Amino acid sequence: MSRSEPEAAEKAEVLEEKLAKHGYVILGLAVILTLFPLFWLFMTSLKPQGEWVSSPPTWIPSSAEFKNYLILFTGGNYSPQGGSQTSMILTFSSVIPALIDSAICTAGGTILSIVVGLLAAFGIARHKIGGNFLPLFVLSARMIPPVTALIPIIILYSTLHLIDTYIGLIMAYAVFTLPYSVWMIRSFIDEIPTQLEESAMVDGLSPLGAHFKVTLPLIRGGVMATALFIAVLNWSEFLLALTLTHEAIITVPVKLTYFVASVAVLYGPQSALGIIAIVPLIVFGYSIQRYLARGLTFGAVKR
Amino acid sequence: MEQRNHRSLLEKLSRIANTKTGTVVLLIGPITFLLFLILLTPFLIEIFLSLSSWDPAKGNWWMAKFDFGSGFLTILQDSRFLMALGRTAMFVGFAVVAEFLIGLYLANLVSKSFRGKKVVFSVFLLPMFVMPLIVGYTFWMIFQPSGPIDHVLTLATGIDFMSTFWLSNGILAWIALIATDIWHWTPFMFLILYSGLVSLPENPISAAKVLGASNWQVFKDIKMPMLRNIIIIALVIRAMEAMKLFDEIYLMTGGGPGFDTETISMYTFTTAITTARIGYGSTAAIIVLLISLILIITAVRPVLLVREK
Repeated sequence: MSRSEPEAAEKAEVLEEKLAKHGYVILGLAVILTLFPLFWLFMTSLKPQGEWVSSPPTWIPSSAEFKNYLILFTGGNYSPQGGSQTSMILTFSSVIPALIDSAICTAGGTILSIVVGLLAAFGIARHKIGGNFLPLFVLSARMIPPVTALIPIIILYSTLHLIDTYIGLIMAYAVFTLPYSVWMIRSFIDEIPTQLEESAMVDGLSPLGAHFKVTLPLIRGGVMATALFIAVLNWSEFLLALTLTHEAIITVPVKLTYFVASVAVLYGPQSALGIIAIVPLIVFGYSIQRYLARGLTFGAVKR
Repeated sequence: MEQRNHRSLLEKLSRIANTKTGTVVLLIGPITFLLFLILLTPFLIEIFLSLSSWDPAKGNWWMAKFDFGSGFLTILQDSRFLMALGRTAMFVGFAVVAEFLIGLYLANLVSKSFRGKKVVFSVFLLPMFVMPLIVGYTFWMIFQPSGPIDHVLTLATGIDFMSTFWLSNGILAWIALIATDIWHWTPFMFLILYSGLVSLPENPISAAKVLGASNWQVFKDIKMPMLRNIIIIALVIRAMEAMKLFDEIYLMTGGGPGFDTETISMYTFTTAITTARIGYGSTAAIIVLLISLILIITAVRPVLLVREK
């Protein structure tokens, strides 16, 4: 469908200007600046407690402290530096429940968003249901700041007893990612000629049958990419998880803020949690690299 | 026997689904239900709340007294709210313009031919994949007094910057927040503009070069006009997203020092959630919503424009 970005550029190589000398310097600098914050996060995740806060700061830890990662799974106690004030011991509970909660809500929200979005995308692309209004109304779910919808959703949810439930958070995640699933999948459907469905219908398939047996297999890759794209958004979501769930469900981003807000910051384990939380995002992100521009612009930029 | 019943039920269902109405209901029903439940109903509730004076301690919200929106008059004179609006506009302006210029410059560099292009391209995408909250946490660490930024500044200038409290000074905190946003979202601009640059038709460009146009002239007079729609889309989408800024501020400054870094999202959140002034918070939310709706209407046109091509 679309080629990956660098490949397409190489095709036009004859026309292209060569990168000037100072161009290398600037790109090199930009690469360093891009990588530095993640380098710092990773290094901090390996620092022993004594090097979390020091002046001057520790750039490379003297020894790799894997305890920071281990304690995420086992839970444990940290005493503040010096160790004399035993009254200030910080208890660190395991993050496994948070990882599970995040996984459930991400998967649930993504599946719901894709299923509902796929159906609606066929309705919009093939039957023009709702004219121009429906797609724009869907889009507004992404355009409005979520904080403006927060108060009434909380009120509605407490009336319906959906606060602190998986289904409540999953539905909220689905609604706020529907714009991506509808618009992206619609842009994939638009690329498949309607003649294919029409000839299948001549052979006796119903319109729905034609959608799901003819077009859907052809856009499978695009739908998968859309799903991963939405999974990245759901896994990263913070505001809704912070306000719609409290005790029964704690997602990874919410868990992360617990430690920052406490009396002393547990730099090491927290950074380790940060690293663990972004690894799936990076894997997903790069695996859908060629669909990224399309996703980020709701299908407006095709490649 | 049972199986046959089962099958005939399925057949009946599929016959219903394949009628014209059935198809429409099946395709659009689920999305209508979700949007109605989680988007439309809440906003109707919110409009009602913004026009009433509800106190959660005194009964259910639907029994609240109507006060014909006196909250709107109060909030438009509330300097804290107006300042938050102004700060948000300022933040969106600075951050989005900076991201656009840096993104355009880098996209133009990377579109040239050099070795290691794929690696550079991939590295530039990386920040976009990191979740906003962790971006906030990482930059919060970096901007701590005697953190790496202070260290580098001290080493580079020879002046002692080691105890700079970036996040407890209004102006410095804004510099830190804008720097954070630039790091996080310049890749978005880069990706969109790069996609635009490499998919430009070759003929006008090569023709201009044959005629002796300089690279700068080709960039300014040919590439830029052809990229116009993509640039508008990128700017508009990025501006809408920047307007929502919450996670990073929540983690890095919490809106402080004082209210110095309080944006409208932060303000609405604090008013409605932290201090539980629901009615007032709803009023703020409605105003923010109206502003975003105006932006959406301007935003949607270029997106549609490109789709139609």
